[in-house]
Amino acid sequence: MATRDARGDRVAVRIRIGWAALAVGIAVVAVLPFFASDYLVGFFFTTFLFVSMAYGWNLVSGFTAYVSFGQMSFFGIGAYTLAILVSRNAWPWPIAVLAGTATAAVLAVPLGWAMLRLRGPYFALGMLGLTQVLAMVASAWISVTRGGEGIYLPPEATLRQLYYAGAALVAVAVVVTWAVDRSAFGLRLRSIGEDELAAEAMGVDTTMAKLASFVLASTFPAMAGGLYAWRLSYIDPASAFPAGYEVQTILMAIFGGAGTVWGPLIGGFLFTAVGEVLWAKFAEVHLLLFGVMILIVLLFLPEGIIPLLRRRRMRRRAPVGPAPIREEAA
Amino acid sequence: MDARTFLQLLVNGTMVGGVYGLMSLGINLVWGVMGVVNLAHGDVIMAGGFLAFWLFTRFGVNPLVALPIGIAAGLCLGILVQRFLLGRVPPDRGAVKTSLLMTFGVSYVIINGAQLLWGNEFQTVMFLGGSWHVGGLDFAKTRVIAFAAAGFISVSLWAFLQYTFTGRAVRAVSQHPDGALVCGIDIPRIRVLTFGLGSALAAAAGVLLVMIFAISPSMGTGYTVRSFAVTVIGGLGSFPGALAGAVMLGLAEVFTGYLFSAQIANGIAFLLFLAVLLVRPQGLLGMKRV
Repeated sequence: MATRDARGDRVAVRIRIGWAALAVGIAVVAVLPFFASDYLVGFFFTTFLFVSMAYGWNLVSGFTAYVSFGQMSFFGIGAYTLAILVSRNAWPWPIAVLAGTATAAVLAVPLGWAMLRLRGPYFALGMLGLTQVLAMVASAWISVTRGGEGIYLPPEATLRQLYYAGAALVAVAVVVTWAVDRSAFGLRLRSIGEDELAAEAMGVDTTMAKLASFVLASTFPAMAGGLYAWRLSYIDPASAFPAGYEVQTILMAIFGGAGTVWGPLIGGFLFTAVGEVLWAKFAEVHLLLFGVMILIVLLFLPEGIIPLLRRRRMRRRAPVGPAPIREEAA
Repeated sequence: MDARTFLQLLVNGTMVGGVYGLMSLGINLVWGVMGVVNLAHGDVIMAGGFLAFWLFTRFGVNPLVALPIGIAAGLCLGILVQRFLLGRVPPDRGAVKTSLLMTFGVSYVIINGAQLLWGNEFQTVMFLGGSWHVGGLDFAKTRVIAFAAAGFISVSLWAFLQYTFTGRAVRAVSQHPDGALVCGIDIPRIRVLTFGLGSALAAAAGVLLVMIFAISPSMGTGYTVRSFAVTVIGGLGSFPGALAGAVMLGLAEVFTGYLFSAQIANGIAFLLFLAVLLVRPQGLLGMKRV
């Protein structure tokens, strides 16, 4: 019993350390723009966008087994909605960002209804094609999107405003994921990921759960897209549907640990920190490096960093007794 | 649209459809045997095309001579990917997900590799101009040659699967992996071979495609979607289905390109794919999967 108490104490300490780290992190993020250079603030802003998109991907593909390769569809919808509302109707920025998010969520309902009837490779290819088709619509629907010419926006935003908007988006993403993870809804999503047929047999309304996660997941890239267009003050089909962002988002989520609460955050920050050094040196081959890194993560770290840490801790904590049951790779 | 234009579009669409058929056979084969779609399929097509382009502009190699070179290169690439990447995925419930993500990674490696090697421009191989006139219709020489070559390769593949021992083993694994295993078929070896064949077919289609269209490194995904769409339209594992689906897609693209715009024509593959999946998931000529 003594060891158990000691173990309990150690866990409590660890939890306290975790909360302390989180508090320090929030404090640093809050005061950073007051003393950091514009470059650093811009770097953090970009990281926020990617981390929130990684959370979006995590909600649909980390919890359920539906791998989406088309989250950039919603990024583009968010970006274009903002650009059109601001340039034509002179809407204020923050409201236009929210409108873009709402548009994406509304469009995600019929899109999700159609796409989620597909499984495995069908769903993957469907989402991959969706981004392509939307990029095409953006270049062909000239009366609304101005096609390849793109839409220029008045550069009104300050970097600091964007930075805090991005930080808030990440905070929302973490809280939403944390809430989903603890809820019955999260459990339903996980059961779909494990075995959809069995979940259905247990009485889970899989269609509703999948659709809800799809719509929820669409809001994060949509808002990120709006903020991105705001920062760029220009949007065209290539920048609204950037293929490289999809691979980067997925890489962050699986690097940290798909289906975990903290994976996208930790994976995203570690990844961009390493990346910022690497990409500057090898700008021409960064897509190739992303591709290679995906392969390396999948081969040697298939569950990501977070489950790895957790398992290590479990092993240290349980020196006697039966070995911990190895979680099956999801 | 008069009758002559209509017939001309019919001819053009069918010719393109032949190459699309070849394009989709690789994805069809790999999917049937491994239950996975190669998301880098279109990028291998693109790389095959660029290989032919490079051999032609640099060494003056005729694309028809480049065809076997492309096939060999695609075969090697596929074997390496299966042997060192996909073959290492543990066969549990997450295997499909992991394999999809892996081929997604490979796709970016190929895209970026092609950009580094051959630049970001649209390229094509102009080795043969002009056309034959038959019955008042134009048969562009390159299209006829590409169509014939695609037909020849498709028939060879069919014969291989139908009549050779290895080909039958491939089909056996596709139909019933456990049964195949019981019969003593070395499934990992068959998978390596199948994935190699799939890439070889993609590369071959690329070599033929670059004779007809201009290609650029970033357009591979469009061809992955097209190949997949043809497979879905025709039905998994069906040769006549694949051919019908390919010709249907070729015709749909040519006609929408003529009637509306080239951009809409590019999206038609996706719309067909979605429509077929929502209405008749087993494909027009495919058999129902369990």
